[in-house]
Amino acid sequence: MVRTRLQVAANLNYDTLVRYLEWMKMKGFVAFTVEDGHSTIVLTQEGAAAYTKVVGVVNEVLRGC
Amino acid sequence: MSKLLRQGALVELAIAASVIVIWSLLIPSLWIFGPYFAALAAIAFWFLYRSPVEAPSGEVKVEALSLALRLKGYTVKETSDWLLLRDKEGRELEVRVRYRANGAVVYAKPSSSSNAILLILFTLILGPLALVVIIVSIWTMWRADRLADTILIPILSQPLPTASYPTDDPHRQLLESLSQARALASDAERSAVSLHQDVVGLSIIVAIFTYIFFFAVSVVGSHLSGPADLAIYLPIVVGVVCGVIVYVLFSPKRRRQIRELRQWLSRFDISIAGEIAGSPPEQGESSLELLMVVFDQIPAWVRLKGKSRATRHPVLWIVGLFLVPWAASLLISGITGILNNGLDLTSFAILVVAIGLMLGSSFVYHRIVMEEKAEEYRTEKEWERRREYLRQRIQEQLEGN
Repeated sequence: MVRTRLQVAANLNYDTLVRYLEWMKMKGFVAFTVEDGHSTIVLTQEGAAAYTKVVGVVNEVLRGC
Repeated sequence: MSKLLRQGALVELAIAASVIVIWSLLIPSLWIFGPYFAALAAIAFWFLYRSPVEAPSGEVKVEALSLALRLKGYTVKETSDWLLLRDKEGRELEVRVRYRANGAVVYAKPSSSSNAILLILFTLILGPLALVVIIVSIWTMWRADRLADTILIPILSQPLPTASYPTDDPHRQLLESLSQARALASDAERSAVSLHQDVVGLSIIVAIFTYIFFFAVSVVGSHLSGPADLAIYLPIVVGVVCGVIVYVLFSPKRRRQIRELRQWLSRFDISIAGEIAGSPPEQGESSLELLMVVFDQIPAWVRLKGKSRATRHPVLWIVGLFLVPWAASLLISGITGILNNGLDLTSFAILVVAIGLMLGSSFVYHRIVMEEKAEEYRTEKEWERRREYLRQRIQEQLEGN
């Protein structure tokens, strides 16, 4: 996904988005690539796994209601 | 199955009609009580009636059925052997699973215990006008029938998903979480609506009592002096104004809550529809984002439910409808007796009973309110604990990588 599209989807200002992306890249959740001259962001396997875990925790807490 | 529910509605109608006819034939002079007993008989049938559902595989688990319904986006509450299915139109169906030697049998029930208690109370209040209760119970049976026809039977006719936890499918987990959160919002919305109805009821009661009081005062006043027209119209105006003031003072908060909760329900519906269609929104909030925001709202929703439960407590209704008016009439009788006859034993005994009933009523009221407050406190603490647990676990998952 290109950065600008991600920025709109996440509803964040550019600086905040860059800060979050840097943190996620450092953790190995996303990787930066270049496609057709555009800088794009790709979810890594670790990122997908982390997302699954977070969704699982939310589900676990809500199921106890 | 649905045919059986429709038959149930017809049987209920037949029972009510038979009771009215037999009662009128046996005691013609008291025919006016016929609808009252007919309503009680109809509610008993309505409460006990359950219709078997054909389960093709014979292997039905409540958890699996609940999961299948949630994955379709329906609101479900479940225990170990039954679940309550509710759709967006507010129709309800209780589904029970019984295990026999030759497999599981699924039963559908149009009523719940709390609804039955409410209908019995309405019957006691309405008396001969209880025919309304019969119509309401038959109507709920027809609505439950449609719910069974359009939702339950199609789901039971397909293989149910396995219900083992934890699962690694985030899509399924998101749908389940959204459905669970929507159920909480839906409960809160119903509670807010019932609290708003309480405000409407309170406004009407205030209007009626103010009217009665001012009517009595103005009738006495008009005998002494003043125009008769004023004695008739002034109490009506004062009664209506007082009722409107109470409504204007207490209803905005409830109406705002209802409006906000309906917005939440709509957000859940959009997210659930997106997840079911497999097309999450490119703009706006994601399902996970919505769920994270919801965690801050849930304690308020649970508190709302507790408040509504307190005002709908059957014991409070009995106290409010029977004990308090009875105590008030005894108090007036006792005071009148003492004023007319002096301090005789009978009037004194009536007064003591009246005061005892009033003290007992206030004790019961205080006890129920305190129980609800304690429950509210426990809920708050439990949610603080859950939010902290969620925060820690997410931090572990993200920072631990």
